[in-house]
Amino acid sequence: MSEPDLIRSARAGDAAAWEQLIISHQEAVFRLAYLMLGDPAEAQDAAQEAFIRAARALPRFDESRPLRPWLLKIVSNQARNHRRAAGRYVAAVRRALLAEPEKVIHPAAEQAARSDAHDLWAAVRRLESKDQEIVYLRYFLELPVTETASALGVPEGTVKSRLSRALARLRDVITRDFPALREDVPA
Amino acid sequence: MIDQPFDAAFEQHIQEIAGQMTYPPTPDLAATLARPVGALRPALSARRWALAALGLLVVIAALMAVPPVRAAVLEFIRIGAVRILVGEPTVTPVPTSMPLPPRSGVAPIPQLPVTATSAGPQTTGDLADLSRLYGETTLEAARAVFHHPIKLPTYPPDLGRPDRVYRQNYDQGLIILVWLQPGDPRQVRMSLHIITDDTIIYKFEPKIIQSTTVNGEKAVWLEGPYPLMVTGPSANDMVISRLMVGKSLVWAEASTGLTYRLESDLTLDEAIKVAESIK
Repeated sequence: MSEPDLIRSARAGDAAAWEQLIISHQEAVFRLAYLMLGDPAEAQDAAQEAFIRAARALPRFDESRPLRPWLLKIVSNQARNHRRAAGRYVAAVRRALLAEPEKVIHPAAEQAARSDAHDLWAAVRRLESKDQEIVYLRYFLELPVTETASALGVPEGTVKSRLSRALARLRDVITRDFPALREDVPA
Repeated sequence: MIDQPFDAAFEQHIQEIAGQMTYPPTPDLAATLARPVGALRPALSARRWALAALGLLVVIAALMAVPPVRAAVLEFIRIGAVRILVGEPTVTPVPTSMPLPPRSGVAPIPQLPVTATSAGPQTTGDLADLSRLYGETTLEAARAVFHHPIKLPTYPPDLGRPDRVYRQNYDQGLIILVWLQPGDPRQVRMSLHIITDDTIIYKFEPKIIQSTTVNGEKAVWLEGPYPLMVTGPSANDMVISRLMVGKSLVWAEASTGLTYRLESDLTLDEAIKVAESIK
């Protein structure tokens, strides 16, 4: 059954169709939330809430459009809300008060133990939120430009110009603090 | 902003590395959520509200069981854009300087002596902590968009320009200037937060709080460690910043409405010298 058919069936109350849609997209939705929040439990909460919101809005969704960018847009909003949420704030303070002082990991040792991809993630997290989001969508989740544009709610041309600026800023961060990630360094 | 020329080779390189990212296993959301779309809304909403309420009660109970937190909710003081939750003193208060006169609705600042534990070596900030900060920029770029002059300290004489500059809470203003240790550039020597009235920084339960002045204006001297969070009305992010797990001087500048927070391992007298050298 095609995605538009599944959407129509889900709207009509077909639980199996809705389950199939969740299965098709839960990985991308969860991964974007994880990239944005950095915590699997919080990412799961955000992803779950995103699917609930999507279910509520499904009757108004235009099934001629792909579902994935729409779901990713919802989950990115959800992840931003999680970052702002008072619950997260209180939890962070509580952790900080109860926990031992944070272990400081020397960057050299840390770098040796982590993969290039995780170092890249650390570099991306130094960028502004909007730069982070477009890099996650385009390069980590490997969305085509059209879907990236749809997920961000901007024209494709804007995606390209934003990506260009985000990459320039990312290059600065990598050059300065993650030299092992430079493209002229052999893997 | 001028568009950068697109670098296809760099893009491909980033794409290749990003494609190797490892993620935690995706949870089986379908098992939880697979029910008719129409039926999903009331059933899960009610359950989530119940879980949220229960979770809030548990968190509040847990927080109140922690003495520092229970104490922290008791008092609250404000210096410019910085709010400080002040706990009950855990050592016998001994006045060490003239306290500030209490303002209406604001608790007086308790005067605590510097204890042996706080007088020991201070933990300075590691460069790894900077990886949590987003919004890195240059001093020139920050000056171009910040609504107030970004003034720099001229003391100590060898300080020079900041090594790192961050601009956060983009619609409002929070500028963070960071100087690194000259002999060990992986260590933070000092950081200066310049905060507009729109931005609120919360500090929780510092161990030492002492009133003082900077250029004749009221200031507080705080000694940590403490969790600290920055937020703003339209910020996309909240940032937990622990650049310096040590001492900070917070003061407001009435003429501009800016609040400054200087974090360093300096003594109070030295920190005031730095603060008063900002031109």
